[in-house]
Formats: sequence, structure tokens, C-alpha cells
Amino acid sequence: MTTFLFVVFGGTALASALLAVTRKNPVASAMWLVGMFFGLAGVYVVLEAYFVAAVQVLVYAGAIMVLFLFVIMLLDLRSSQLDLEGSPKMPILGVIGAVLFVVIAGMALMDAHDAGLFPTAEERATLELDGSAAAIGADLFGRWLLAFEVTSVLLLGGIFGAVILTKRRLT
Amino acid sequence: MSLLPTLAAAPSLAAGLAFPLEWVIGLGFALFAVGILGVACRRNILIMLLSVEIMLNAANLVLVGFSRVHGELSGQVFVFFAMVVAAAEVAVGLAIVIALFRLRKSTDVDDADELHEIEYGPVAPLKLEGEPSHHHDDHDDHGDHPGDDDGGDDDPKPEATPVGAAGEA
Repeated sequence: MTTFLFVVFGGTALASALLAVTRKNPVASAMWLVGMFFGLAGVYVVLEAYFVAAVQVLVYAGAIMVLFLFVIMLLDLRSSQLDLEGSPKMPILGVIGAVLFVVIAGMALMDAHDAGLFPTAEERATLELDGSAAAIGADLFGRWLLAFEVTSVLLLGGIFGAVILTKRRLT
Repeated sequence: MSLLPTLAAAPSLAAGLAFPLEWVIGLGFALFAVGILGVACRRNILIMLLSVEIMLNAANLVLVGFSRVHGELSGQVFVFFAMVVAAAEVAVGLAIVIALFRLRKSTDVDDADELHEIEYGPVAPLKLEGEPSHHHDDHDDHGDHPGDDDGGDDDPKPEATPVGAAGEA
């Protein structure tokens, strides 16, 4: 059952991602990306990472995509400006790069598989991990408390950067 | 009985991982390759930013997969931090997109092949649609695409022309 769900959610995520990068209209791209975020959230649930799945939907499908759509609508793109086809060499080079990445990463995956670095079916059957918000919270505010506080500084820097970059007059 | 206690009890019911971890890692690789495709093939800066998000999500998926198999929760905490970084990155990146669109009236990255300003200072007011533009023809933005330089055709500033002419020669 979980295998079936993984295939369904993973396939949704992959197909939505492919559609997102091939759409001409950025709004359509953003909507397909929402589909990818939901598919990945499903995969996280299958992997029993419930907190990460909830945060994925809230932060990515909620906050980040709303920001994207706001900016796309704000830019007021005319349909003539959606036809952005640069040099025809770029898609070819991109496909070569992506294929090379898949080949190299796939070979590394095969090597790791042959070397027995991945758990076998018997080892997988005994895996236990509590991915609930309570367990993550205990880890986050225990071991990773300093890192958690530092991210607040990062977010503050991000806010300052965004405000200063979009301001028309600095004085 | 509400939904929440059911979810909390789920790990003990479905103990273990029914499918190989290699599938999860392979899905992460495939998503990352799609992100590479988007960044390399598309010229729309918005879709390039979306593709960067796809790649970040692929990395998150691999982190969650390994965290699950190693029984170690810090992988999922790292995913949380990666999402915070992604949120900050999107905010700053979209601010750059807006600033670029004000300057070049385009979301094509090939139109932004010069780092310096073409004719305005950084504090110049936004040009409105109806006003005549000096260096770009607003009605035909993509006729003058990356190749041709907008070197002083009707540039009002005489001191800017020698720089462009010296660059051409």
C-alpha cells in the first residue's frame, strides 16, 4: 500500500515538475509547481515525516507560491513578452547537462547499491522514526537551538534585502 | 475520535519502509535533473527561479529519505532549515526580478547582459508606460534582442557616446 502511494505521489511530483518547466506562461508554471509541492508532501507522509509534510504545504505551497504569483501579476507581462526563446543552443546544452547528471548520479546510486550501502528488505522492516512535530520540536529546540536562532537573523537580512532592492528611492 | 491521534499512532502501525530507499534517491535525482533543465533551457527569469525551487525540493527529498533510513531526526531538521533559506532566497530573488523589470521592462535574462545601468541612476523614478523611452522601444521589446547594442542612437548625453563607440571599435 505505501509502495503504491509512493509511486502515485512521486509520479505526480515528477510529472508536475516537468510540466512546470515546460509551460510558456509563468502563471501556469507556478500552478504546476503547486502540484509538485503537494506530490512531494505526499511522499513525505509516506516516508512518515509528518511535520516536514505539513511545513511543505504551509511554507512552499502556501507562502512561497503566493509570493511568486503576486510578483508575476505585479509585473503585468504582455503576451508578446512570454515568447522568450534565446539561442537554440541553450536547450541542447541543457538537455546534455541534465542527461549527464542523471547518468553520473545513477552510476553512483548503482555503485552504492552494489556495495550494499542501502538497507536490505529485512533491515528496512525494523526501521522506526518518529517524525511528529513533538519529536522534531524537541530536536530543534535542543540540539539545533543555536542554528534555529541564527536563521532568524538570516530571515531579517532577507527582509531588509527585499525591501531595499524594491524601493524606488533610497533617500 | 479525532484525526490527530490516528496520525500520531500511524508509525507503529506501518513499521518500516515497504519500498527500497533507492527509489526515493532516484526520484530526488530525477527532480534535480528537471530543475537543471529548467535553469539551463528557459530564458524567463521567473521560471528559472521556479526551477531552483525544484532543485531545492529534490535535495530536501533526499535528506528526508536518508533521515528515515538512518533513524536520525536531524535530517528532517535540516529540511526545515533549508525551507527557511529557500523562503529568504525567494524573497530576495523576486525583489531582484522586480528591480530588473523596472530597469529593462523584461523578464528575459538575455536582456540583462549588462550589470551597469543603461541610462538611469539607481534612484531614478520608474518610467511609466505612456512616456517615451530613450533606449528601448516599448512596443517592440524583443525586436532588439541580445545582440544589437543600444549604443547612443538618440542618446541625449554626448559624453556617453564615445564610451559606446570605443566599445564597438
